[in-house]
Amino acid sequence: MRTSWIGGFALLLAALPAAAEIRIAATTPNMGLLAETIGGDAVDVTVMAPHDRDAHYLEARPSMMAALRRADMVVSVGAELEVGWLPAAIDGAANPDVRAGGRGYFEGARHTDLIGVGGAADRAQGDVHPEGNPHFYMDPERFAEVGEALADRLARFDEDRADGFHANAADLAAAVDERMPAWREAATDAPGVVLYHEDSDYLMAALNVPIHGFLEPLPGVPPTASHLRELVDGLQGERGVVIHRNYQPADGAEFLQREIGWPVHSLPADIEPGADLDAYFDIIEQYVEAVTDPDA
Amino acid sequence: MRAMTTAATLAAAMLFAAPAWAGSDSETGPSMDEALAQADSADADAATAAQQQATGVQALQIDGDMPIDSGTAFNPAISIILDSLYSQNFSGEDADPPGFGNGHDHGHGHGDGHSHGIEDGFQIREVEAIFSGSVDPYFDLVTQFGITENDIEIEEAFFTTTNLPAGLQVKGGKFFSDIGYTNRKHTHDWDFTDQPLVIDELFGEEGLNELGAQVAWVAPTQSYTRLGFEVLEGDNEELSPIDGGHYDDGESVSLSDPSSPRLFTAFGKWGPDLGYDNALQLGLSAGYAPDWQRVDEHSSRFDVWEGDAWFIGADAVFKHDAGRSHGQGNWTLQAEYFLREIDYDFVATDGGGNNATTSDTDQQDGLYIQGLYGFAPRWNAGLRFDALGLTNDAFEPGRDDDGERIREAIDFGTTYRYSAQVSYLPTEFSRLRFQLSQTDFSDGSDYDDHGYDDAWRADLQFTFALGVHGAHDF
Repeated sequence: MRTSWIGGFALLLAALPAAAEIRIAATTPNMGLLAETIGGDAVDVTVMAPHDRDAHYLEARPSMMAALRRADMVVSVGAELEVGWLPAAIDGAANPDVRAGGRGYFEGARHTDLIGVGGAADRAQGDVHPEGNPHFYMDPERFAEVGEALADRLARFDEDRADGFHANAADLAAAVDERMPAWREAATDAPGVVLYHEDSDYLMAALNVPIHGFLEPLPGVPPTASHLRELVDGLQGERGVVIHRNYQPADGAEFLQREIGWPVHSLPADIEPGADLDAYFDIIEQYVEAVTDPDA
Repeated sequence: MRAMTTAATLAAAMLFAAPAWAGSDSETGPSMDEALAQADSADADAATAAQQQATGVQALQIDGDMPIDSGTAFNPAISIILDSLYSQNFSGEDADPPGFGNGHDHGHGHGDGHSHGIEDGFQIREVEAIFSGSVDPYFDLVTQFGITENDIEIEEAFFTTTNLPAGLQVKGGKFFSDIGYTNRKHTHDWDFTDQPLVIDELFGEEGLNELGAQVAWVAPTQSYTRLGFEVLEGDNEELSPIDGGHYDDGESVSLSDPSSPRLFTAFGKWGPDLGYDNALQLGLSAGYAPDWQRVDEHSSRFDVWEGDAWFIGADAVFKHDAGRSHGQGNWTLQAEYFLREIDYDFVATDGGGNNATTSDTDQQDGLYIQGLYGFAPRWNAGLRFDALGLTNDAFEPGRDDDGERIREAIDFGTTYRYSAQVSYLPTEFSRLRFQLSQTDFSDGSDYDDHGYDDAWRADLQFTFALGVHGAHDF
């Protein structure tokens, strides 16, 4: 009696997602954009983290749990970027569909090669990620590559629209391919950058722009006076720019500006929730302009 | 009582239904899931094989299905947390507030030494060892051991179901009850060195931590809504003390030996979506203990209480995220209220065959309000106001000024406590905290002037976490 009741309920649940839009809870706005870009009309996307703060340091909020409770799928950056809140939010959502290991759990970082994989898991080295640097979304080519993987995954929810998902992924890859050569060309003579955190490494690697250092002495540890002094001593007489994200404190960057005259750029990393692909390309464009700053 | 048995049966049925559900899943819907799993293992395996070679980390497999990309390669996740203190009660005595702290058995072992788990001087309050992970596709397991200098205690050891449908989740084992907001938080996760007085005195030093089962449901709504109930053993010293048995010391007293479960709770939480900057959660909770007993053996008499107890509570938490780095500008406001009532018959035997019986009701409550503010990156400061015994009617054996035995619950007055703390967190894994608190005791009852001076205490707390420390829930 009970089994038949539960079995019937299972059938009902299994039947539901096929008929409706695929409800996606995305962690960051960029991942939400990727889901929208690949899923098109077939998906309904909720973004859990805002664009103007560090996805590392968020706290699980009840609204995240509510979004995950209603979702068919969670689309995250992965590689422990959201480890401080996503597992707790998933636990609080009591929704087996979005748990790790299920088809409704998607980590972008799993579907592209990461920088810095396999570093020592030693917190004396700061807030390290042995799984690799999670910020792959700053490299448009990797972003598009993950889009292909997402198309594969979405196809498993709605096979009828699989071709559409793959076409969307191909369009994204084409749009990226169209822009990358010009960006690389523009950045050819870029003298190099100092970043606040290891969060734009992928883009710098894609543009072949050398990274001269980080304002953080260790990942996750705020800049210290002695570390900044070392940076300044090492970079005296060199050319370059300092880039930090707009939610990261500016004082370290301004210190470098005062000491060695490098221009400082405070840039966004995520699009505003709901913005389109052009907004994403605009952000990349801003980084290209920053590294080619004529004052550098 | 019948309703409770039914509830317990239902809970048990749900536990056994979990594997059954899993079984029926693969029977009723194999085509989609299994085909997908196979399709995936082809491409995912190729992708992850390369990664595994690079990292040397073996991705976890669930039953031959796709690798878990859960963001951590460790299973079980193991963490060790050291909670150490230097504390000094430098003025007055840090005693139990009048009317509380098992005040019923006055001079009966408890009473004066009670100090909220904090002693004077250097101390390791606790080393917490936490192991958690997925058991199989159907269950997660969390075990937490509290290691002190003298013993090891199982603080929590529970499973939770991971694949019940429709937002249902069952938890079973030993765990912190979900009543209120602070109760389920571990010591290292408190915003102050100690917990609110109302939790400490109405539920005990450990809070409401019980053996039993919980069934909870998360509604598929825009606002976060979670409802649940718990069927618990009932080992709580404050809510369901059991002294059942036969006592014979010239006088003979027999108390029933009630079987468990002896404690039932229900809770509801609601959190609207207030956008990215703000979060609110409101909660209500209630509990009922059908058997409440206490026996005090004195040299020439027994004092016996027998009855039942219940409580209700309300909690509210508001958090603001300023979006700056390392918690700067963030603030949190939080408040909880609990009211406990005990209805009992009191029997005092005096050894001469004289039994004086009275029936009465104890009613005691308490609340706290606290605020936390991140005044600089990695620094926060907090203020907390505790009021205990706004209603404080309790029965305590004694005699009034004329030497007559007191036969009713009397008002013990309100005790207030003021606490302030400053914390510095070099990273998420270490914290240094300084706290100052002042307790302004009530004067006690009309008949019994406790007359405690204000107690002042200073704490210096060092907390360190080693290993994979799971994310904290809201």
